[in-house]
Amino acid sequence: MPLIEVKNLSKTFKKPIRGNGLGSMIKTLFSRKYQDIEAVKNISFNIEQGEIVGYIGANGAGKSTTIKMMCGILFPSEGEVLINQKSVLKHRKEINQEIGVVFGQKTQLWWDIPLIETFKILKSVYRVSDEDFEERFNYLCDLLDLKSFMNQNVRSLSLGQRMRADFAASLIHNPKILYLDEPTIGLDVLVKDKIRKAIKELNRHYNTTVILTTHDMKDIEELCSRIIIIDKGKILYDGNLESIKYQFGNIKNIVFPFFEGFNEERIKLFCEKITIEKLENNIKLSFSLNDVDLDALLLILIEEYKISDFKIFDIGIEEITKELYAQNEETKE
Amino acid sequence: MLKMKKLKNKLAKYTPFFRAGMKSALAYKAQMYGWIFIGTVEILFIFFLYQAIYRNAPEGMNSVINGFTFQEMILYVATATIFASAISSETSWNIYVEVRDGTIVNTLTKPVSYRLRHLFTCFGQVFFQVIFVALPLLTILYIVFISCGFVHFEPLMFALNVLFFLCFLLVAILINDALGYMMGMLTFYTQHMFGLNMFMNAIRTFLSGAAVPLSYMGFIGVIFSYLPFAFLSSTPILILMGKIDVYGALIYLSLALGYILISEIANHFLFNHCIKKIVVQGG
Repeated sequence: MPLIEVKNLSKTFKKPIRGNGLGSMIKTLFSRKYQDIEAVKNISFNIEQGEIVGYIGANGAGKSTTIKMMCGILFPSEGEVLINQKSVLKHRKEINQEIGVVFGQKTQLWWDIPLIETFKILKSVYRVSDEDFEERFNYLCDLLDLKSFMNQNVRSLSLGQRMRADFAASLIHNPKILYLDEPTIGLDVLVKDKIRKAIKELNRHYNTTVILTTHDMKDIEELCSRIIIIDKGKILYDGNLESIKYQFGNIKNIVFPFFEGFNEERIKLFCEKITIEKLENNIKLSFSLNDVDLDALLLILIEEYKISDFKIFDIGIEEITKELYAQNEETKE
Repeated sequence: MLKMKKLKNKLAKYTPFFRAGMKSALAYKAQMYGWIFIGTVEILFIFFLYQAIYRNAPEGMNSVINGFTFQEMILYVATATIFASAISSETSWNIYVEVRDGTIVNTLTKPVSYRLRHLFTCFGQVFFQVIFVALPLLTILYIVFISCGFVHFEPLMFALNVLFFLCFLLVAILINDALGYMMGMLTFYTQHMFGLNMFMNAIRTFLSGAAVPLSYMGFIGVIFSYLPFAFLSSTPILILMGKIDVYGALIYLSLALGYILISEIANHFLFNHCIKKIVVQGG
C-alpha cells in the first residue's frame, strides 16, 4: 500500500488582470477581471515508504503548488492527496503529526528568540517525550553541527546556519514524510553537502520518505532514486533516475579547452546536429550517437585541432530535463 | 475527570506559544520604553487639554462635566491609555506577516489549531504587558490619586471593583484578540494591512471610549456602551472607578461573554472559508 497517493490533482488560481497605465489601474477599482491560471493539471502518482523522490521542473512548473497541496496547505481545485489512506485536508492535524516540512525560503524558526527555544516549542507542539527529544536532538545537532549557535537568536544566524536549523526543526518529531521545497537554495557548497549527507543519513537511519523539489541537479543525482519531472503543471516523466539516463544514454558530451582558431563551421560541416556551446574557458559539444560517429569526430578533434586534453561524459539530469522540456514543446507545436 | 485531563493535555501544546509571545515582547525592550514614553506624552497632552476645558466651564476646575470631575477625567484618560496599551495584541499583524511572506505554510503544517496558536501567543505578549508594565503603573496612579483625595475611596468597594476590573481585563484581551484575528483573516483577501489597521484603530479608539468617555456622546454613547468595543476601554475603567455598580457589572459581563462566544464562532467559520482562498506568496 503506498504511503502517499496523489489522485488526479489539479489547481487553478484566479489571477486579476491588471492593465498598464493609470487609467487601467483606476478601472480595476470598479470592475476587476480575472484569468484562470492552471498551475497543476490532473497529476497522479504514488510514493512508497522510504523512497527519496526528486520533484523537478522549471520555475512556475507547479512543483511548489503540488507540494503545498500534498501538505494540505492549498486546497486542490480537483483531486485529492491521501497519506496512509487518509485525506490530508480532512485529517490535517493528525497528518501534520506525521510530516515534516522545509520551505527553503520560509523559515519555521521563531525569529526573536534563541534557537534552542524553537526546538522546545516544537517538542511541546508535537508532544515528543523527553527521551525521544534528547535522542533526536543530540543526533540532529551532531549530524548538522548545530551546537555552536544553539543559544543565539535566530535573527542573528547566517543563512547556512538557519537552513541547517530549519532542517533539524522539521525532523525533531521523527516524521514519516519529509517535504523539502528547495532546501539548498542560496547555500554554499559546504552547507549543501552537509544537508545532502543529512538527508541520506536520515533516510537510512529512520527510513524517512523524502520528497524534494530543487533546481540543483546535484541534489537529485546524489539523493534521489526516483524523479518526477513536471512542466506547465503536467508530469513529463515519472520513474527511475537510472532508466531515464539510459533512455538518453545515446547522448554524449565532449568538453575541451577553448583555443584561438577554433572553427565551428568545420564541426557543423561534419554533422549539423552537433550542439556547440561556449562555456567559460571551454567548448562543449553535445550530440547523439545515432547521428554522429564518435570515432570520426574524435579524429577531427585530435588530428585537425590537435586537441589532447578533452573529457567525454554522458548526459546529466539537467540536460535530460532540458531535452524533455524541448520534446514537450515540439509535441505541442 | 478524564475529559479535564484531555483538555489539559490539549492546551499544554499551546503553552510554548504563550512563552514565545512573552519572549517576543521581552525581546524588544526599546519598544517597551518607547511605549511608556509615548503614553506619558499622550497623558500630558490630554491633561492640558482637559485643564483648558474645565477652566472654561461655568464652575471652573470644580465643574462636573458629563459625570466626571477634572481629577476623575484625568484618571479616566490615564487609565484608558495604560489599559489600551496593556491589552494591545499583535495577532492581526502576525497573521498579516504570515500571509504576506507566505510563512503561514509553516503554521498550517503543525498539528495545532491556528486560532489557539495565535490566542496563546497573544496571552504571552499581553501577560508581559499587564504584569510588568500596566499593573505597576495603574497601582502607582491609583495610590497617588487616592492619597491626594482626588477620587472617592471605600476600601471594600474598591477591592470589589478591582476584582471585577481584573475579570473585564481578561474579557478585553479576549475581545480585542478576537477582533484582531478577524482583521487578520481579512488580509487573506486584501494582502494589505496598513489601511485596515488605520481604519480599525480609528473605530476602536472612537467606539471604545478611549479618547473621550462615552457619556460625552449622549444617546449614541449609550448605544456604543453595549457594543463589543466598549469592553476594550470604557466599561472596565468605569468599573474600576466605581461608576458602574455590581448589578450593572454582571449584566455587562454576561453581554461580553456572549460577544466572545459569537466572535469565536464567527472566527471559526471565517478561518474555514479563508483557508480555501489561501495563496502562498513568494513561491
